[in-house]
Amino acid sequence: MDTDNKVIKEFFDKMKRSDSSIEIPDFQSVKKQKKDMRPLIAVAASLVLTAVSSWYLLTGDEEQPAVEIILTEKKEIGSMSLISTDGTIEEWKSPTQSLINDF
Amino acid sequence: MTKKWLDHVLNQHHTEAYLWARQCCGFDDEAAKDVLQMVYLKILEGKAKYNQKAEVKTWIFSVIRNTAIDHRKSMKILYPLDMVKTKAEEKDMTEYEDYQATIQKLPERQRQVILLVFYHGRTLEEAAGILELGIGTVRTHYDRGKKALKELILKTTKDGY
Repeated sequence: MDTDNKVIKEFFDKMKRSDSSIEIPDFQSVKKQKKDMRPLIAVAASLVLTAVSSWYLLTGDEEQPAVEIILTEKKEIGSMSLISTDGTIEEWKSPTQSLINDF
Repeated sequence: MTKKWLDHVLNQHHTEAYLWARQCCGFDDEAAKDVLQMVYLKILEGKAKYNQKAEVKTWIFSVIRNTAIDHRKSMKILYPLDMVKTKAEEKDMTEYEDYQATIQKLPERQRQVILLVFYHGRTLEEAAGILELGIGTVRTHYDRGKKALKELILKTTKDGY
């Protein structure tokens, strides 16, 4: 058990010595808060969006006429019945009759 | 516990805190800086409070570890896998990267226990507090970690390290 500890202690002594060459950042520079710009950008974007949409709505109302009349030529549109009533009841065939015969 | 006192304590333990943050972040310097900054903010803004049950350094180390875990989750980083180097890469490594590569080969819990005890001079009880584990679990990780690290050291020494 002691030899285990000795080998490991030597390893960590060497590791610590080599770690002394690592550049440790200055305490004040680490402590100094980085400015997170995301909330500011979000607020700015929403303001721009609000301004643009309100401008569009205001100017859009002025340009549009209050009433718009569209004159179109009246055509007579006949409606066709989908059910053919020609012929007698004896002559009537189901539209799916062919399916019964073929299959 | 004034802000001035906290500032003084953080400044006093800054170097060791940075090295521990670096070890918790898979030896990534940029991640360690970010984590440490978050830790300092948490402490100075009162989000992490010192309850005086443990030594100040133990408490700071515990906050660092928890913040590093959160940071790793938010960044979706898997340090142990990312940091594993191939034999070819190992040849070009600097001296301290050699030690890091060796220690990185240990499972995370074993690595943290071993680093806390041998590198940072913490007791097993303090390590258990920092890692939020039971003393029995920490002792198991300690024994297994020591055995595994010894084998790794002897292997790398034999390979001409």
